[in-house]
Amino acid sequence: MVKVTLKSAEGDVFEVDEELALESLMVKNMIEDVGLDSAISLPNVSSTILAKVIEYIKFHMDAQKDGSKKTSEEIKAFDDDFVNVGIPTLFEMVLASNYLNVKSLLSLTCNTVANMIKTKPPAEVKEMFTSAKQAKA
Amino acid sequence: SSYNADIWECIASFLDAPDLARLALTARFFVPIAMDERLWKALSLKRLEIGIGSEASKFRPHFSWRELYRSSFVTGSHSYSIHEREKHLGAFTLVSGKALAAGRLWQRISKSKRIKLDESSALCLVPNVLPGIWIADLHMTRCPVCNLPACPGTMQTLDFRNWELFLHEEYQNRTWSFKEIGIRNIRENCDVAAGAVFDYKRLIDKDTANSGILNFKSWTAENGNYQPASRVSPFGAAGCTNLQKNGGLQVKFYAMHAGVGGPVVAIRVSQQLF
Repeated sequence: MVKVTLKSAEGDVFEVDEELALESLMVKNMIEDVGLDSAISLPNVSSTILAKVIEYIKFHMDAQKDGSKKTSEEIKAFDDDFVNVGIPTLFEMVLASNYLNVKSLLSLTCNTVANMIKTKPPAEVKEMFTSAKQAKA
Repeated sequence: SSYNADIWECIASFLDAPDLARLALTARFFVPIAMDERLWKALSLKRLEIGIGSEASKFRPHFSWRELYRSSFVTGSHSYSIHEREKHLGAFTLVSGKALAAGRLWQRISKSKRIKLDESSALCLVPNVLPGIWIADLHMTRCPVCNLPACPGTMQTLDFRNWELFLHEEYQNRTWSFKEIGIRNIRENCDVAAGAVFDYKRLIDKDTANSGILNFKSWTAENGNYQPASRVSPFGAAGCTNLQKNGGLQVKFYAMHAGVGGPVVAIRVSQQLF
């Protein structure tokens, strides 16, 4: 299995399967442009968030494989748990999935934010917006 | 950058109209995001149950999608004000510019390719129809002036309108109004009062057939149920109410033109017992 090296904002190195890395359209384009020889730098994504994104993609890739025994309930439980984080982290994940262009994760995280907006009073939504501003893009 | 309008566009796409309005109130930053036409188009098509990518979704409206959304779903303006109850049938598309209005059992349409436009068929061809998304409503009304003896006083009206109609000033100030374009007198017992408008060129069509709209028996109410029933297809809409034993129906067709020689922007089929 071909490996791809991803480098986070802090300079930490993550070695992942090429198949997994290609789930990010941004990384996919990068590999097509520059090849696999050197590490791919992702200066906009922190190590914590990159690890989360990789965890997400890995879970869903495994769940989609033939012979996977994951039920749709289990997948939903994983997703619910995955986005059950503080607002700053949630926004960092929104920004990272937008930057890395991982469509399914972008939908999941944006939908989570949207559901918060639906249930919160305007003052709290404004607070969320401030949190979003503080999240590193 | 510290924030990113892209992600808010994505977040906003998961919100409904009231949430967008609330979002716009929280901070100026959100105003252009909550006003984005793409969002309002998506919301409108969802409410109208029109598939994205369908022919209907490709029409470019004269008004903004946000205005159209508001005129259709928020302000509750209605073309027929004296209704006692009303039924929103749904949205469909007129593409060809030629519509067929029906005031009777139209399942005959599917069986014979040649459509007879005589008295008994109660069909009316309406040319020069404004293509676009159309909305159908069914109204039961107490007719205000009844000049027919023995009329129990109930009239069924099916209104079909181009969904931009309510936004036109000429409609609002009543410059445009309905003109009668045909009368059919059916002087025999009618089991149902049924009206429909179809795109004339899409009658013999896969989508029309799949919707079951021409398979009359599949969607009309069972005997003894006098609630109106309806069915919408991609290229037509129909409404139908069961009737008690009667001496026939008078069917009237009306059209509303956008000015003299202008295209037809609304069609009305009204039915009254003799």
